[in-house]
Amino acid sequence: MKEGFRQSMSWLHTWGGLLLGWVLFFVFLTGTVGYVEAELDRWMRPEKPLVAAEVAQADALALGVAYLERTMPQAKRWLVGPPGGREQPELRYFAEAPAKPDGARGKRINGYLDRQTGEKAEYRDTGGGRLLYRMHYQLHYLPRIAGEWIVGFCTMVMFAALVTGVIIHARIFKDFFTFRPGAGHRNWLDAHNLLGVLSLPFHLMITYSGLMFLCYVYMAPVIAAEYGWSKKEGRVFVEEMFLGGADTVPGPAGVAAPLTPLAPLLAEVQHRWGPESIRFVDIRNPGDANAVIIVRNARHMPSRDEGRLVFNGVTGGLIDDGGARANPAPQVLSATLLGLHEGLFAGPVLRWLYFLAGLMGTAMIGSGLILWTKKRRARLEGRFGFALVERLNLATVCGLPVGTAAYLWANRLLPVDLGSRAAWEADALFLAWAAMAVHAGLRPAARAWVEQCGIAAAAFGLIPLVNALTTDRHLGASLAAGQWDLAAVDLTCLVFGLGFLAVAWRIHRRDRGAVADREMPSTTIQEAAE
Amino acid sequence: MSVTSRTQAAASPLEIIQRTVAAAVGGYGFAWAASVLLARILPLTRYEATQWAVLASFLFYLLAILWAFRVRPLTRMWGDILAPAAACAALAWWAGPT
Repeated sequence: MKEGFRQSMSWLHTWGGLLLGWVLFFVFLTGTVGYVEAELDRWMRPEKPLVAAEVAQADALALGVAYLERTMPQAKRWLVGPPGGREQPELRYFAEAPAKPDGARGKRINGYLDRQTGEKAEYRDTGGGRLLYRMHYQLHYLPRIAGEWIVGFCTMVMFAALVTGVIIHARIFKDFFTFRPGAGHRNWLDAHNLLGVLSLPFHLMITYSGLMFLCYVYMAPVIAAEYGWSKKEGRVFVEEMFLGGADTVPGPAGVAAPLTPLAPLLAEVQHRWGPESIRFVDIRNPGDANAVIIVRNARHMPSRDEGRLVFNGVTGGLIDDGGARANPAPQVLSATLLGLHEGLFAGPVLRWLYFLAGLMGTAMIGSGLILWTKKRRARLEGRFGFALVERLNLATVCGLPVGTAAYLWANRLLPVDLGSRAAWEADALFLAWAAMAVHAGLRPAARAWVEQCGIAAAAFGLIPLVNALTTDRHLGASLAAGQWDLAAVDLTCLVFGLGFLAVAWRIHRRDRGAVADREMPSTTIQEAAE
Repeated sequence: MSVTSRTQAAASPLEIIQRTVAAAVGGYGFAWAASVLLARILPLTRYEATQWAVLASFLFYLLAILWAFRVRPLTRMWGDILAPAAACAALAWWAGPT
């Protein structure tokens, strides 16, 4: 490969990575938390029983449908998800009233029910893990569209940074085994390379598939060139995409007809899929002659093609078992990319791997940001631009983790009946992050790193304690009951706390020792890599 | 003067702006034109061809971004981005919608 080519790619990698690295760090960190979204949701609702009662899905579904019959008898749609599995540990309902005369969407209600009594279950108002997960593609405080475009732009730059990273990293396999701790900025370079190479397939998959989620938005002009530029013509594309798999549900006939009993229908589902295999039962036009009942399978597939059964809602006859459907190849490919990105199919071991790979991606970005300053310290120290980058790095790499810890603290410490409590939790994240940024700006850089790592150590390490003081869902209870999803949140926070403590201690000792950790004269990435 | 990592002889701000605009905007234009062309020449149904094109569009975009920072003289860089974009658009227009 020509040297000039690698040099220009190195330039793109360095500057693209630096300028968008701060946003990408946020996206990767909150996205990584998304892999344990369900566990965090559970942890952040300590009102839930420590050990959930075992109920048959059919019984829970009957309770859910009965509740909706009472609450919204005239509905366009009832949806009941029975408890079962990690994604949906609870009895959940959703209902939508028919559209208003002016065409506006009807009233919608949703919430949780007690699985044994069928009464409404109330938990504290919290964004849960779900909110952090949503931040990774919508950011926060921004209109949804703006957030999505900003993240999309950054993802494209991430994609370019990954590929240029491979290009400039000519000796990718040799350096795979190279780690030179304590060698000035080279250990940061080695760490950055190691983190990048070790999980490169994950990074490439997560970045490219991340673009896929909103590809119909980002690349709308490509579709428009084929289908036409109007909104109506654009919908034809979506219709063709779901051809054969679409919810071909007729509108209401306007003729009343009693809903078929659910029990025989659920027996048929169980016969086909096995016991406790339902994600939700979706009833369209309940009480109408055109009622349709759609049942979705609870399993998760990498291809996102879980299977569904469609029944006539009046006669109870099976209309569609999905057997005749074969999705076109490009749709299978893009659905699989989305499925791999979400990792919903992952069991505990694979889920931990996803979580670790996400953390490695976050650390790769963080180490790249730090590497930028390490390599330029000797040459640029004292300049405003250098100081700015250094402070922004600190505020991001340490400040954001402190913010996420503050989010969990707020979940435990804010009064349970506080108005718009979930919004306050999110505010706590950003307030703590802002405080860290101010701190990074005011303190001498070297001290600021030690102090912020110390703050992060306390912020994470004390979470199990805060939890124990404010709830009875602490480690003593969760471990004794074998509730590992709950205990894992406390324990993981403890591990993060100890990790930050170790880093703080290391930096402190190094600064105390004042051993010459001065930077080597500035070199290009190529020279350093060779 | 090419963009290099010899930051002592850093590229002028104007050059950086030009390359960034060429990558972001010109690259998007190239990605669009190349994807539409791909959708139109693939012997598949309209939906399948379009879906493949959308999947490929980000790879086209990536190529253009790398190219915008690779080519030496600025004038040639613009030509190298815009000429293929125009060629793809013209061919796609000639091929007509599937």
